[in-house]
Amino acid sequence: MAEITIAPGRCWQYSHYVGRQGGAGTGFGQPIGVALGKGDVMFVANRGGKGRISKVTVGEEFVREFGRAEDNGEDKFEWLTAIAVDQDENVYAADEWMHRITVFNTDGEVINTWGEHGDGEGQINGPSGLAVDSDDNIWVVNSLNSRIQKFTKDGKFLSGFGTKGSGEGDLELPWGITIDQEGDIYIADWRNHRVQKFNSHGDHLMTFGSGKKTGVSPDGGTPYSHTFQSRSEVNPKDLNHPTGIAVDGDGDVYVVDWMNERVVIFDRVGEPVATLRGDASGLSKWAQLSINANPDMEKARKRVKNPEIQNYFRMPVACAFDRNNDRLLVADTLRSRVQVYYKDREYMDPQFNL
Amino acid sequence: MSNKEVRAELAHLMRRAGFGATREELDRYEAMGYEAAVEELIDPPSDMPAGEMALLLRYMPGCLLPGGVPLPGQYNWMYNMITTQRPLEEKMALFWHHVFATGNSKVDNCDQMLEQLVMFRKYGMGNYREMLVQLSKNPAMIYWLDNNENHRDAVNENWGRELLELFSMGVSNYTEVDVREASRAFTGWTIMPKLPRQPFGRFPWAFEYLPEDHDEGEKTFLGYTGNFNGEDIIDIVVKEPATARFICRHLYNFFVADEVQVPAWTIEPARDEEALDMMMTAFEESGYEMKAVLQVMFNSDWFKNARYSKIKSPAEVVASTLRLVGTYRTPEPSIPDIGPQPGYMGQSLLDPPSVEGWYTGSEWINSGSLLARINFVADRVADTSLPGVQSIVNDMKSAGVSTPEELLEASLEHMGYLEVSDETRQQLLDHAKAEGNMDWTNEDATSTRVGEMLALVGATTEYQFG
Repeated sequence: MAEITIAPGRCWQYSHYVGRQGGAGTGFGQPIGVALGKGDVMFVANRGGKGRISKVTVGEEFVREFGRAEDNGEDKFEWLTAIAVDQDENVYAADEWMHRITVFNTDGEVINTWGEHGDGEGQINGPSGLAVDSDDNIWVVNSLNSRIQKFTKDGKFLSGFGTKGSGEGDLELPWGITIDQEGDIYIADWRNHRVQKFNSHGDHLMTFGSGKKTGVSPDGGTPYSHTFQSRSEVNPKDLNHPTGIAVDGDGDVYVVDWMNERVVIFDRVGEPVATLRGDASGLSKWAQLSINANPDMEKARKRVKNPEIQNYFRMPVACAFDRNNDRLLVADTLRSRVQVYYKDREYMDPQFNL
Repeated sequence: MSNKEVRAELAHLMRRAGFGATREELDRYEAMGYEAAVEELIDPPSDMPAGEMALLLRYMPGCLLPGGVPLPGQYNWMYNMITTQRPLEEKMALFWHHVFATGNSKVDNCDQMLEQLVMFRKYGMGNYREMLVQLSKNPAMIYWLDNNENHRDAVNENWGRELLELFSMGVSNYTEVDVREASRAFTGWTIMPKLPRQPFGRFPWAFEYLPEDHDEGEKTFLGYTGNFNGEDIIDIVVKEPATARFICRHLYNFFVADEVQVPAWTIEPARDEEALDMMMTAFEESGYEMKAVLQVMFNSDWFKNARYSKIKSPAEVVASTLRLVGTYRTPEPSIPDIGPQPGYMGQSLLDPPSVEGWYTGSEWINSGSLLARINFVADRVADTSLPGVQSIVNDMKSAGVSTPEELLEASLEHMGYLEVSDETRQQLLDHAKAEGNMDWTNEDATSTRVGEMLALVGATTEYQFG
């Protein structure tokens, strides 16, 4: 049964998920980035297995995959981190170990590679996030020197900002990036446990989240076992290593709260209005295929007492909002799928006594 | 006591209670004093974190839930060993992995092996009774020793037997009837059915108690009679003097000096009965608190005087060397390479040869493993591009190390304040003298020379011992 998450005046209705665990084709491997193409197309960046990019539809049709080591030769990925798509549906892929941006056309052919490693103006260092603005310029998050830089599509440096630190406007190992309709920039300030909003000149505008890390114990405890129950108590403002961000047409901000394994939705003034924890019940078309291939898996599923555990996000990294269709895509990284939600922008509670 | 002696004791403490210490770390411990250092190791402050797992998972997301493949779990653990600021906590996890040896070869679920390590970190320096309760409920252990096959009407004795034989009292302290009765008490302690690995990867195991599958009959165990459940068995076991002796002898073997192998403990006396008595007293009088035993042990003269009387385990060789050379503090794509290194020396982490764990001491050494140990150390400490080695070279340069004697002394100090035998010292000195004084105007060649001397020190008995 589909889930619904309600906030004043809007709600998010879980729709379905796309993907299953796999090393090729309809399987994803640690999907770490998701970007929208034209129509129903989405591109998924798979971190696992040296990286590849899957071109699929939100309606769960496989188109092609590209960027694999055997396809790319010397341009193969080492640590594929993020992808973004321009208006021509060219795909920009960041490799944070090679300090390189690889550009593919929509058919998966490499059409350009750019990026010079370094800390100087126009050089890149650990690119972890990518976004395309309304002028088709490419914004790159340099995680290792906490700088945000704008380039032309062919890699010519245009501008940049950002300093390392923990004060207002500073960044510490930033990860994801998104741009809203006004052209303002949002950065997942990963190690500072917050999201910061800047104008396109780099002036700090506001901060989302308390900046207070929670959920990871001092002994380094990590979620080896799914701890959804205990994490559900975490204050939505207390982000824990946020990774991905998206903004919808109303200004609602979606923050992938990686270590808390949830997506926190903030309104435009920075107040949390809802939290998504993952609702991937049932089996998608591709997931069903892998179950059909092994009937023992089906039997094993039937004996489970807590099947709801499969619904939840597992260390999700990225998200994207499709403003044309009012839908949110969440890269559910360690569950090898993309969960899809539709936003009802004019939601009203039904009468209680229906 | 001279400063030199205090420093030597601290270096010894850190080799045993941690994974060695750099010169800078020894400076800090020396400033706080030996007993305070022991206290910090036993009770690390909350702002002194373990390794930054978030950083590892950011770059290597696949090592959180590696499934059946052991490698990601192995480098995950090695990363923790080389980055933790709570070294004794991690060392105790390694200790319990030796004692409560569980293997991925059967468990085939490295996710759960890593989860077991989390349990070892959390309870490893706590109360031994509580540890046994947690261990009895640990899914990896339940599957490893078949307690999920231990039913009211079909008893499986594997867990019950090893609980007594290898995890608490040791052989010769119970009967076959006790094994049977203990096993009956643990019927119904099992694992909840989990979602299968397809189509989304592994889902976690969880402990489940099934009262309908528990044998509610009367049991007689070690002379006690009642309708015992699992925790009742543990309550009886922990009070047995044999348990105190068995666990403390394990601690002595792991932290103080090499003992004979465990199967010989029933026929060979302990290496130091007086030391064992002190540890057993602390164990029993504290109500089985591991911290109390560790405190007595590390502060004792017999511990301080036991320098170089224990051969490092492969995990200790690898972790202490990697800490020294400062690599992988931030993950790199090649970080999986560090996972299997101890295995090349005879200790495949998360995959012990059997529930007995590894044989230790001289059993670590054979012609192949010795070469692997020496080559591993030499390859790293002679690599002057590594940050820790660079730091050593820079320190020597700024300290004006000039003569062969100074080169040798500085190398021994940087390799963990090692005290080598006269014979070893002379051999190292002869090598150093062959090239005369250091020429810092030719920095590349001199750096290489430092690396070569560090590699030679790494091959000494004293470095390979702890």
